[in-house]
Amino acid sequence: MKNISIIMSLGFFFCISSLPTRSETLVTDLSQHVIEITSQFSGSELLLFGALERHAMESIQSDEIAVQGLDYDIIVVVRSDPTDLMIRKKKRVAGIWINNENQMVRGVPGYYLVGSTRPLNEFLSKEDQIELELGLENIKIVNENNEGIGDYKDALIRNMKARGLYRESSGNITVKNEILFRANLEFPSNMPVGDYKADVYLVRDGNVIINHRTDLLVDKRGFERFIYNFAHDHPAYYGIMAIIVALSAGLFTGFVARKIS
Amino acid sequence: MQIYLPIAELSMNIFVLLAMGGSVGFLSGMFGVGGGFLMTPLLIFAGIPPAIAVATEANQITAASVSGAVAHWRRGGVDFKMGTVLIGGGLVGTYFGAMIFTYLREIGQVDLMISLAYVIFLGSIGGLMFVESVRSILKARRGEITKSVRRQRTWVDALPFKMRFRKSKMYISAIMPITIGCLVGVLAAIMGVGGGFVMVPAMIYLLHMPTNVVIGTSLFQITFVTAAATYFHSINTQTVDVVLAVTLLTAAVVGAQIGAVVGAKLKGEQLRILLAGMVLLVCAKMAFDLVVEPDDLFTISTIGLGRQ
Repeated sequence: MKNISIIMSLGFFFCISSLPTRSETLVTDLSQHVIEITSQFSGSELLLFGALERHAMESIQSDEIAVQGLDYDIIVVVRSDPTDLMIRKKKRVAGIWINNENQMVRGVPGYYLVGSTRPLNEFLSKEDQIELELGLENIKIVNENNEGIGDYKDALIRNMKARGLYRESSGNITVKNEILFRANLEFPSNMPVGDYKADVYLVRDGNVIINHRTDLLVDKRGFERFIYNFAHDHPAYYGIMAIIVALSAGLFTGFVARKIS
Repeated sequence: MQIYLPIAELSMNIFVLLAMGGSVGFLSGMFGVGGGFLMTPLLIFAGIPPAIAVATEANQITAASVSGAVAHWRRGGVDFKMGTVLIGGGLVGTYFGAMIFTYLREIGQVDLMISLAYVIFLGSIGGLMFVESVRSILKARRGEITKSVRRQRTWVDALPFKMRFRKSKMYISAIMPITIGCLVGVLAAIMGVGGGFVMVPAMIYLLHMPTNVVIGTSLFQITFVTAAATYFHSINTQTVDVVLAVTLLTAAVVGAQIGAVVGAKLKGEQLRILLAGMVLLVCAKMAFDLVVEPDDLFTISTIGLGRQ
């Protein structure tokens, strides 16, 4: 027992002493913290940028860093609020294709973007990818009984990719002077509203050494927000309003057309 | 230029929407139908979720048909008493149609139902109209004059609760128009159509109404029934997108006015054969999509999570 504790404390001491040479600070930010969905909204593009500070290393081991610069890899993940989705599978019944079976998944992202300096498998172990849910295939997608759902999972990812809601790319993060990095984030017009999280992971020697989170709010604004809230909060009045709008528009244009002809 | 649709939660090119609204409006003015049987599939093909396409179309047809109804009323082409009886049946049908719609949407079968309803109704009615109008055109070619024979008494005349409709110069049972109105109401709620393609032939071939009041009266009924469908869909499923509806109807009401002028210059048989052709085309497309294996067997949605 005594030996073990000595080894542990030695190990601890070693960690502490090695920290100054391994100290990095990650600073990241988004070009915008709010995406406002207005009447002309047709998707959005944000810039995620950041800087890596390596105080101690710069002074002590500056030569080594210049060589090791590319040892740093950066992963950017943007996720929306978790949501519940229904996946339905069609089957041929009496000659026509109908929805026959389904699986419900809970707590999956409605929007998911992952970008990295290199393909993830080149610098991060599969276990870490799965634990942090990095990469489309590593998003935890299980049914209500916590079972894997095989081809339903593939179908979900395929469909979400086709809608532009799930995105995965590597090599799209540019690193400048091994200190500054930037990533362009694209959002389609059908993006869900809600609270988004943009996570940046700094990876070195196969380990995630730092991560930094930035919040992003996606919300409808102005007229769009009013219409959406009105429809959901006061559906009966909304219905009457819709009828009045239609009737008056029809009568008005009819009147105008008669005056013209 | 893109426009964001707040209920559908996606953005679309406004000029595409205006072009769709305008051309369908033109056809609706020409044929005296709501145009929903073209517009709803078009919206679905353009990527609008089917439930939102159906509910929003009901709203848009209200606008398209009220301007048409007023135009026909000024020419004395509306039988208000018949229209009111049809509306009575229509409101009941719309209510139940919206309930069926909500239920099927929950269990994920609403798209199937929309397609099947299109194939069945458009197929049978388009087919009947087509055969009938070809026959009468051939007759006219051969120089036969269709004499206005005193029509035969049928089982329709034997029904009770007879009512007098002065405008249409008819004395018939109220059961028939109420049933037709009810059926049209169901279709308005579940298919996103005005139901003119059922109503107009039913009025001509079943009720034997004079043709000069058929289109005006059907537009009058459609205005009220689609307004009811708008209301029920707003309450049940919040699927009426007012921004989409207004964009479409702005173009559609203008198109409908032009269409009405053009339609007045065409003969009845020609109109009917054109309409029949178009109805059959949409029907064929819907049937084709049902039997051909889809590109992806899986679909993803956020609907129906409550009930499993």
